[in-house]
Amino acid sequence: MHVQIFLAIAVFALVAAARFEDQAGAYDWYKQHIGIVSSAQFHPSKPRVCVTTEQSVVACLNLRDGSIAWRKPLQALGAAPSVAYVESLNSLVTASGGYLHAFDLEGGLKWQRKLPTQTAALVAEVQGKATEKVSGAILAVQAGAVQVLDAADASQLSKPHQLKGLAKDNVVTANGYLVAYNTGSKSVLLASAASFVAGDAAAEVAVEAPLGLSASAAGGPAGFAAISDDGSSLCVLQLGGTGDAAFSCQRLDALVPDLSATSPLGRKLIATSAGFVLVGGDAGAAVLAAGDGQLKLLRFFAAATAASAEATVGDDAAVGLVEGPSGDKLRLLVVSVSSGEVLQEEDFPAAALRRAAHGAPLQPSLVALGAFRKKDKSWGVRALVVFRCGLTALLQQGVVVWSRDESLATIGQTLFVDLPANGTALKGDAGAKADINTRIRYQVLGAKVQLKLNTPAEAAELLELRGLLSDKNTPTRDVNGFRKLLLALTGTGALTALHNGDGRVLWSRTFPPDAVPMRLLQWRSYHDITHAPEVLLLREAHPGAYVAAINAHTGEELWKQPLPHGVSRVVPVPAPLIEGSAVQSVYLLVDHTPAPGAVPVVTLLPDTQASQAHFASSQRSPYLFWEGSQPGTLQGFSLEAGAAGAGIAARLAWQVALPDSVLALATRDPTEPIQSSVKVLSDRTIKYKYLNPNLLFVATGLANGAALDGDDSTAVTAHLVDTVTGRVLYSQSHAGARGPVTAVVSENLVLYHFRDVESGRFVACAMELYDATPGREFSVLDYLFNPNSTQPVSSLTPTPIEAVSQSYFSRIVPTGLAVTRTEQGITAKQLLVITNTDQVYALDRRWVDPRRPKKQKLTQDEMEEGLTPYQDTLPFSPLSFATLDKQVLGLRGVAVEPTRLESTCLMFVHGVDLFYTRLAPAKGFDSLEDDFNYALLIAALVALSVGAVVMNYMTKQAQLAWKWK
Amino acid sequence: MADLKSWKMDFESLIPDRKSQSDPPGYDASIAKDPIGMLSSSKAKDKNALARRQQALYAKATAPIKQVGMMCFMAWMFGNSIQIFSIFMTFNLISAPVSAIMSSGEVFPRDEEWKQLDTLTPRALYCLVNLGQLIFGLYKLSAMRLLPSSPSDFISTMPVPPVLEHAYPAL
Repeated sequence: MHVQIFLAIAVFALVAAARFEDQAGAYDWYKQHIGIVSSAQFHPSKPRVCVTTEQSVVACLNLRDGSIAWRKPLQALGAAPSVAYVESLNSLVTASGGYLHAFDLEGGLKWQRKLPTQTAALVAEVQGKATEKVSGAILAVQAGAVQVLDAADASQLSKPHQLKGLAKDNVVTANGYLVAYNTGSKSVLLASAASFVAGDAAAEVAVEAPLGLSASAAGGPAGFAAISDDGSSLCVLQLGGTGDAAFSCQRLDALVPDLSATSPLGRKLIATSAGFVLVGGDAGAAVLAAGDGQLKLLRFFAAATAASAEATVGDDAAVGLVEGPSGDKLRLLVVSVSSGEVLQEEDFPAAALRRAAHGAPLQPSLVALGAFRKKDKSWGVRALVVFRCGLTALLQQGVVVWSRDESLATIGQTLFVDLPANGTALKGDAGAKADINTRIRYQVLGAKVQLKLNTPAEAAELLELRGLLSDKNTPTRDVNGFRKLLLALTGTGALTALHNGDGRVLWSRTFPPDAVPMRLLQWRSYHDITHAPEVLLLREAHPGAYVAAINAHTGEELWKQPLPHGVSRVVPVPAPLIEGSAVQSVYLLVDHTPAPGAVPVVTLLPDTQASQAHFASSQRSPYLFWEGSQPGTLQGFSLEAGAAGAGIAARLAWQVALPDSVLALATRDPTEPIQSSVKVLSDRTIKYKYLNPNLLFVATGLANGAALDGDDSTAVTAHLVDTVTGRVLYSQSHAGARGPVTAVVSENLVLYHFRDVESGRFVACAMELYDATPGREFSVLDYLFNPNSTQPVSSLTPTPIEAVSQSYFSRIVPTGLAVTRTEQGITAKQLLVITNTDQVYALDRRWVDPRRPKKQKLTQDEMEEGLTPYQDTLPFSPLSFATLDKQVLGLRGVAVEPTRLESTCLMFVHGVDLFYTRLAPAKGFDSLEDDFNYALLIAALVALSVGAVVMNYMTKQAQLAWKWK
Repeated sequence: MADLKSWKMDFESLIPDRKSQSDPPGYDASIAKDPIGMLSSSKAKDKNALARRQQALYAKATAPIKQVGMMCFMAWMFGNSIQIFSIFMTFNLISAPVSAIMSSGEVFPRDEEWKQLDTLTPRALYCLVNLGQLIFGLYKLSAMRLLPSSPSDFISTMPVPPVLEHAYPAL
């Protein structure tokens, strides 16, 4: 037992990738974001603004500096939650991802309630008439089901209702009613919220609108209003009055003549207590008052670009309108909703905002207005303005108090590229040069700290100097390839270049909403240092599909080429095309296929003679495969290169129908470097790794989320499919298992996780594949002297597979898998497990070695091979988290890039938060640490030589003295 | 340090090194050790001396056996693990016999005076003994798995075989 404990401790000591306290932040950085704000509410008593974001985060920001006071992720990341602020309880109720949550404004979760389905839900406070006293009741509407809940404790105030008619595209609450309609349709359903609260059989009233209604609608005390589908009219439904509710539509050109000429896109309606505010994109805003079922224009603000919801400023109900930014001014108007008068007017400098947005156009998309009492007892206003580029800023008393660039919370794709070489540094980003005295001071302090002769102040100074002197932030490439430019394509339509040293933005380029690129791809890199690498941006949606090459160092667009068809898939061809000193990436673009069974149209990008020749140069015609349009099918197509510009002919080569639904698919990265194709066991026997790149891992089983009925047994089956022939090479089944399945294929290892139904735990199954060709001989002489001794392999004559597999329970719940990658592939690999807690766990590959012997006492041979005794559960060490102690909220992707040092690779993790670090899966065996103290080394050498000289002299003196005795 | 005595100067000290002091004229060390040999007949002297010299040579040739045995025993005691002492030991096991065999000519010089003396056989014997140690050293190396004796030692950098067909995933 003691031996086991000792062994465990020794093993953990080996794998610990932990950092010392003073190393925190030396190789890593972490940036917290909240996402693009979709709704905002000022805290009634504290200097805070509480927001919900499109990335499904609820957060409160400090009004003084914009720091995050607290934030909570909601279940479904990726969609703005429906939110209701219950004023009487000071709580935010959100509906997202099939759950209702109520938070108090201090970040405490008050309650959580599951909704029947996962679909989008609406949550709203019941706004009855003041006499009805239904304060604190909320309505949750989801797919026609209505629940009335107490916002304080989620107790049901009345029995749930099921109204089929409410299951429509748009559900709006207006003056105590629920208004539901489908976009473009004329029929509108009305249901009284009060009747739900009372538990009565809800009275549904169907109202016919004169025109089809668009999704731009708003409901408030003044009733319900929607812009007609054709954008010509504004239709209003007065509610709460006596008699039948009826729509009245007014033509916009009569109502607001200035607005009608502009494009109907981007029009937005905001309900106020007296009427509505119609914001026409960038074309101005009209404050409208409702009366007698008709709307009346109070005032039109031609320069307004956004409007806030109604807020109380002193005794007035007012909305905040933002004008501009035009020139260097951004103007905030506080406009009374009842009279249209401008109550207050403030100008803000736009230059700071433009700088913070990295040059992106500033188009306000959301404004929240808050009032506060100034010191002289008059009322002042502050406004939280959210711009389309993701910039969130707080404006107050003529200054931009703070701004946050939240566009990086929406990163979709990333790419590491080389920085410019020395001398061609990026403009305006010259690193601070430290003088020699500072360097000497740094070395001396380092020596002092190492010898523990320092004071705490000196230790702090050392840390500061380390940051100052570190060359990790220099905007040029380094010998080891540690410094890289990190290109990120964000959901706000910006391509941003970050320096991987500290995550600062070097340049950013924003695209207009109708030309937002969907994909960021490698395009052209050069071996000579004078050329900047080029990246490719691709927009798939037709019309407007295009490809454009961007200079990765400056963000300049080199060329742009529209595509005649939309693109459904982009397939990289692994072998790049070498053109002189340039390395050109080649892609296959699969056009949108009209019918599911039709043959896809494939074009080559770039479509040149050279690329066609390169494509046709492989010995046999290439294949293409994907998941078929029918669920559970896989299709492979053989491709035939034609003349340049003629496209590539694709022919259906094979089709596989799998019995269950596909839970996971994984292929090996074809560019993954592999050092050796054999594995030598401790008894000197040779095992040939099965390294067929045309291998697809498919896990099938009961669909995720599907109900498990009764004693029906469920199983996850893993198949290995050859993607050239469609042949199933191997399959194994796990009884009593179900999804979700995450899988990764690296070298000859397949690792996949599934859930064991009985124990409720996740199981990691590792499968190592070996070539099991019988009688395969190896001749040393042949290998050494015959250059043709390695025979090419073909999928058409398949080699038998020997699969060694082993399953382990996993303590962590995986949601994704990645693997480290180094320059030559010699360094032992680590598997990067993305956990459900939004962290990344680095698991050494040896822990999932299927050959781990099932005994405690290992033989000499087994120990020499680095095997560890089998345990049913994978080891879990808190020190093995690659994300250290950080949580990358809403983790969406992990990007790994090798450096030129074999031991090290770079990892960038992005979600709502960003995290970057260096990984050394087998420790830094080929480099000294960055903070290696050269001064101490030199001092020691000098001291030794001086000592030697002195001792020599002293010996001579002593000898002479002795001889004279 | 040996002659670090109080320094004094007299005639005796003119002799630079007492050890290399030359023998008096006419003094023969061999005759001084074996006065009878001088007196016996030259033929008998020759025969006995030859046999004795031959015996001495054989004794010299087999002298390293004990040493080799000791070394092998020690090497065996150290085991097959790779650590600094066993590495030194094994290096010594191999280098010592090689250098001994290389310099065996100096150990068994051809005596011009005794032409009939057989130096070749004792020298071969000497080499054989040392070869024994060398073989043990190599065995030791092989036991430590430092000898490239199996095909797997040549294969570790075998490249990945090329693939004739390629299929591109479009998942």
